[in-house]
Amino acid sequence: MRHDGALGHVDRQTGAVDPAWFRSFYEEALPAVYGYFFRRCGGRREVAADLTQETFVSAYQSLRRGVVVRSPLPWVVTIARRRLVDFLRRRETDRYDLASEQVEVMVGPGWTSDAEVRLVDALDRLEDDHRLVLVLRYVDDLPVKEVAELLGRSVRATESLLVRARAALSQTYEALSMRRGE
Amino acid sequence: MGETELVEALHSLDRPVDPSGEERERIWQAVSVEVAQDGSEVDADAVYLSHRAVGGTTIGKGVWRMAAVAVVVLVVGLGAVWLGGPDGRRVGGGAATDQTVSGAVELPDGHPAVELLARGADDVTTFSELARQKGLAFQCVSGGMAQVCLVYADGLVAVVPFAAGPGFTVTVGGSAVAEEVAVPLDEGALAVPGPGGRFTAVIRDATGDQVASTRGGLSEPQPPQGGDEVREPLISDAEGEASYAVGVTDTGVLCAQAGGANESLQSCGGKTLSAVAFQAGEHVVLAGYIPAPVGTLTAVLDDGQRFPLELTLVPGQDMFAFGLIACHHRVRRNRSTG
Repeated sequence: MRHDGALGHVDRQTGAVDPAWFRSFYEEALPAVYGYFFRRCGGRREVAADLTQETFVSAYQSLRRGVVVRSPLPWVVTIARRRLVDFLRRRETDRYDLASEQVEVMVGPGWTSDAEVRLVDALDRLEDDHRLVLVLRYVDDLPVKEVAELLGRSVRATESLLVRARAALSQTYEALSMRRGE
Repeated sequence: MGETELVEALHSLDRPVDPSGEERERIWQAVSVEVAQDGSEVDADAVYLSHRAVGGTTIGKGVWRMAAVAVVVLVVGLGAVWLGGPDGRRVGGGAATDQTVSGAVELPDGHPAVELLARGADDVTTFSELARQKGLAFQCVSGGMAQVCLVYADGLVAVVPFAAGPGFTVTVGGSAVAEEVAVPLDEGALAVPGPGGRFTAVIRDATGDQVASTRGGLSEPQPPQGGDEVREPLISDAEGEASYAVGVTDTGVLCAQAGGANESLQSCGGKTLSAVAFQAGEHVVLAGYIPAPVGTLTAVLDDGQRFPLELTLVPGQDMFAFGLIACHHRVRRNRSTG
């Protein structure tokens, strides 16, 4: 079942969502949502799983409230993006003992190269606002104006933040490369 | 790789990832609690972790409905009113079940969970509030008829039930505990040995059906992230035995503190727009911090009272403003804006 049209599995009278339909939607959208968090959260599967879970619960609750959705996949990714913004801005990273969670450092499922692993590692080591602005602008490919709105900053302040964030990423990436003797 | 190449590489990170079959099922299990309940009782978003010195837990929307159930359960369980008792060991009571308590142990006298119960924290709301004030690592889970709080200290994860139907269990697993343990909730408070850390908690009813689940972390309270200390408080105010301070860490995290003769509390906010509020004795402490030279924030308390925080420039910076007030009995009494 492809879910690329309007969601028609909500009982208009009771607001109940067809569980079987939602499970099917979950199966189809899961790689996109999980993948959204996976590389944006340092390759930490546990964090990605938690945020994915919260995204789907939030999506379900929205449907229950009667939100009308025409394009389910982009819609659920938008929920994921808001969740990520909340996660990083509210410093919920404190919820996780990040030091004890090893980022996958070998090329394997989900990774294409050592350089990509290092890039994600470098991104993960940045301050939260640097990481967030880079993710929204370059990974999510949002226009600066939209990024500024999500961050609650002016466009000018966001551009300035982007400059600092790019420099910080470059420095961190270089430091990681040097540490690994490259 | 130069800056331009790095930016190009960032674009390539946006692609799907298939979680493992086990992860897929685990995530679905948590989501399905909501789906199965059809939004009636369990609110996964409403359970989040205690963290830092004043970590906290919020119980879901269903808590007020469940509170009525809790009262009934507590009344029925009068024979074993949860007071901790002189020896402070077995807290709670009720009919024994035929479920095996594998690996669970009695709570030692000095465990903070016992102390909280002995102080009269016999409902989740009070328990959470006291645990938050003491800066404990705790989290509460609710679902169906059950409410249970987990508290970590000294190598033991205390499992403290507040409401549960007959035969309900909570299964605690993850790296926080030495082994996965199913604890009957009508046995009263018990403890699961373990080092703390990441955990999973699944509440099941007497038929074995899952009615709630959550995952999270139970760690010792941590200093503000980044390991940085709060710099010299930007402002402090003292009245009687209490004092208040608001400061900003080197990485820009706002921390408000309340200190008194018996306890010292601290709450930290985010790096950009942030506000914190917490109860400190008879006072409600409110602080705000914004990335702008001046401005105002309005704190709205539960009873609808509104308290404007007039924010003024952070000394030594030209783009950040902060403010602090402490309300005594919810009546504005101290006010300092630097």
